[in-house]
Amino acid sequence: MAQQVQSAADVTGVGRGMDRPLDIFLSSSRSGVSEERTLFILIDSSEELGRSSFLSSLDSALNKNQTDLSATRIGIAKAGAKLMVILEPSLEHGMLLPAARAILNTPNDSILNLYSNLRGLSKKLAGSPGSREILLVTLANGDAEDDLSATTRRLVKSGIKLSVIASEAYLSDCYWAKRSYQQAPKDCKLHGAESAYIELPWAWLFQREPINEITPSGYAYYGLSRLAAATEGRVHIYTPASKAEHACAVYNRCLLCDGDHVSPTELYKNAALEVLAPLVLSREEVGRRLARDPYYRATNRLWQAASRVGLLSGTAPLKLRRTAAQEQASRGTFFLGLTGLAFSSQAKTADRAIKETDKLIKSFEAEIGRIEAGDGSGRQQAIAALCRIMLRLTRINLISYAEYCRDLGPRLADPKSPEPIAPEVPSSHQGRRATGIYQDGIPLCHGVSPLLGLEVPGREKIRPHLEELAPLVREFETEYRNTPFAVALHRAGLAKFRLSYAGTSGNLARRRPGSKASENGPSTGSPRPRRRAGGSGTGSSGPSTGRKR
Amino acid sequence: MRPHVFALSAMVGLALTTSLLAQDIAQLVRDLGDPADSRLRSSAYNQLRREDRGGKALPILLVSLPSFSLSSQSLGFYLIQSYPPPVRSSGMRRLLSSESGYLRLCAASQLFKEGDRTQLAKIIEDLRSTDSEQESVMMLSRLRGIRDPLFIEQIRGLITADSGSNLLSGYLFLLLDAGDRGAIPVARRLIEAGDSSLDTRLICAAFLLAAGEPDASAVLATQLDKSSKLSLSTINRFLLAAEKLGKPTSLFLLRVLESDADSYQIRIALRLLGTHAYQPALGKIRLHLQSTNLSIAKAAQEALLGIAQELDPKVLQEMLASKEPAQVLLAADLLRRMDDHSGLAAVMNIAARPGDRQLEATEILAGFRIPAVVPALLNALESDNSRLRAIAFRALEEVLHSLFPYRNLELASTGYAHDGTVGQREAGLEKIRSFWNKHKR
Repeated sequence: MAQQVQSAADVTGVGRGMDRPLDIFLSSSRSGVSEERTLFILIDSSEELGRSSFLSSLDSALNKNQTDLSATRIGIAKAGAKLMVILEPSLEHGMLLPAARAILNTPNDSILNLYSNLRGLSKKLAGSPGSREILLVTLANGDAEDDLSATTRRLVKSGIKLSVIASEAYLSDCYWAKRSYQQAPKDCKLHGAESAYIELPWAWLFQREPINEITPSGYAYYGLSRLAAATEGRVHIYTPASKAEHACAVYNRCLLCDGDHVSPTELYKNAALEVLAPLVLSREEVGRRLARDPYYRATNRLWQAASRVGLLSGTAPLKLRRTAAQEQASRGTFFLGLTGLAFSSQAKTADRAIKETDKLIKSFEAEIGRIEAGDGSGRQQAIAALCRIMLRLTRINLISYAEYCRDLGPRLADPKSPEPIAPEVPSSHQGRRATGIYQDGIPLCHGVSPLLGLEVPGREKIRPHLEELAPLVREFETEYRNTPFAVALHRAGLAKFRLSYAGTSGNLARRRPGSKASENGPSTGSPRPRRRAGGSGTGSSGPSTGRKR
Repeated sequence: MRPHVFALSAMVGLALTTSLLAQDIAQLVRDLGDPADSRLRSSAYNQLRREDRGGKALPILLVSLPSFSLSSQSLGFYLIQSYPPPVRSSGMRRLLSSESGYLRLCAASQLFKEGDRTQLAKIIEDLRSTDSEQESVMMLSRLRGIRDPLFIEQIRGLITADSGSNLLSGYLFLLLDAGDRGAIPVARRLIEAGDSSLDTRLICAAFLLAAGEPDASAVLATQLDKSSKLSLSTINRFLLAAEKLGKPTSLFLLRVLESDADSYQIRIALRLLGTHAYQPALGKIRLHLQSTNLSIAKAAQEALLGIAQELDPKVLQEMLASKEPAQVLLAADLLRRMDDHSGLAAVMNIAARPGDRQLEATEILAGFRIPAVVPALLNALESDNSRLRAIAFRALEEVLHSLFPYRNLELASTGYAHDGTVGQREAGLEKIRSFWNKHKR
């Protein structure tokens, strides 16, 4: 059975709530096990979990399955730098809820090594009577991966089935790759993606944030899915109902609506997701399979070439050999340096980059056009299709940028430029010295057509390219609706360039030597950096696979 | 640790910032405190924000703000916050000894957020010292985002059975936002206390539900059943923040939909059931979709979207053909939200005819961020109906802002005001038309 599990779709349950997974975990009849059981619930206490309905769902599941649980010993442990068993497994279940409540009352916002906790717990469970299962409940960790193979071996050897309730990972997430300076617990590597490797090229030029960081993937972290797959357990994703909303722009306001956009193509549907699910085989095996996938090979070649010319700042995590792939660190690298105020030379740099992009478009489209139907995986085909659009979008942004540098940028940066005529008013920055150029995005969420009506730099020059892009986007939307790939496309956008100005910070209170942290000085923040979710509303995350709760 | 000294280049900007004269500043500050005219207040705020970046208005603000209303004080505080660091810092320190408790708390909380922990005692003292519930509630809204354990503990300590319902709601929402589980036993005690009012119990039960407590839904439904006059607005924000409503509360809300409750309560119930995707409510929500009250029909539409995530475009196309303008507008607006502009002609048609739905149609036109709606909105600016002009003015500003993302547009700078004289309006409109004719493609 375990050998047949290949993709995250095979281990991930339907629904996004707490009720169902807890019910499934505790119910012996539905899991087909009627004999004696020993269960451990390992709780990673976080503020997010404290806010969830975990306690009430646990309460209902315990009540609902009271009869089934007569021969089931249940214990509770708290995840942490050191594993703490709060309640040893016992047939008396009355203390479970108070123990869980006590754990939630002391949230921990450090990055935790749950893998080490799982290995520790598996030792404790090893000699326990009956079938053995662990339910790991984690909404904040799981992306700190520590020796996945050893953890898998330990759980399998102890005959433990691991099920997980976890938060959703982001699509080929590059968050930690971009922040390689972040300290992780000892022996851990931070990997936030649902896939064994970052498969989608990340950090395209002129996109405000990598789409990989703000597109919910529909699955949990690769490591957790892998552990569940290897032990015949299940993974359940938890997303609060309030987060299942669409928002066009994650970090800024959408220019094309009031935030009331309805995008039914962003609601994930299981049937559509399954075809595009990531592999949960061992990392080595995933690498071998990717190396044989013609779409991945084409994407990887594009990735290397686009990084070389500065269109992508994130590097590929795999270096391809003839039939194999060699792992290398995926990290941020050089950009074209188009953020200064040397308008004239930057326009020329952009012109050169446009020519390079044209060549890449031509070669990449030719290469994927040669792939026979049926060759390659659906997932890698989707990634290649998305890259094709991103390349063309980058060309459009480069053209607009070059025009901005030739005309509007210098005018806006010139303090002597004439006062505009009403209804135009001077910028609130007028008179201040600009220091550079940065960009916002106008999302592709509403399609390409509305972009044609906007007055943007190089409007006439980009028009034919936008018109070419429109059918590609429509086709992509049709093919990948209700999957993370449609959402990823929506998160990309036409760049809107702005001038940046010098900061306006001042002195901060000085922290005296020997003083306690609580006495003075600004907080240095929590050990786990707060991350804004990708998607919607107040920075919250978007879509969900079904609404069953 | 060495103190952080950041760019003083901001200071360079100081010399260049303002062309405002002292008497202009004094007048603008007076306008900021105008008790009657909110438009004047916000216009003064915008102008000061734009043209007095250096903070020349600070001395006048410090003198004037304490006598202003709380909302004007709030605007004034935002202005001070926007000043360059040395000016802002001096302003904050002086506000700490202001006559106004609200301003003292604004300054203390800002300094606390920036790392000055000595302000904690002052914050709590100011919160305690006010007798005005409105002021306390506004104070609490300034404190959101503070997660310091000592602060949380102190806030928890302020909760009593005598706290008015608005204040109790403010305390508990602040604690919910901070993820404080220590407030759970406090709320439970208040529910059980014999002398707690019904409102207190309702708010506490709603808080427990939002905090994910197992039995809270039933407790809340029991309290709701007891209340003779329904007021969901007191607990609305807790229920929106809750992960799930639970069956007893959901069933209560379902009963609200069948009741003769006022339209506001029905709208809240619709929103809650939609947000929490309560499937059994679908049938009853659909009935409200037919309401001639557009705000109820719209709330029903939102609720359906929340549950089903999409509405059948065919049904919407049928609604477009309806003889009832409210249904046409509802369908056209939703289609527009789904990037389908097939209802635009119908909306423009209704917007062009004086009548019941003209204002609503014009409001809906603002959602279409396309050049085609601009002429219709320009025409509406000429209307004899002042409300229509006001709506069209806002709509046009939004549409033009979208169509010209690189231009800084402020239609009021043309002199047009929806309640201005005919001459002012004509002159202003002429400038807006001229801009449009020059830049439209």
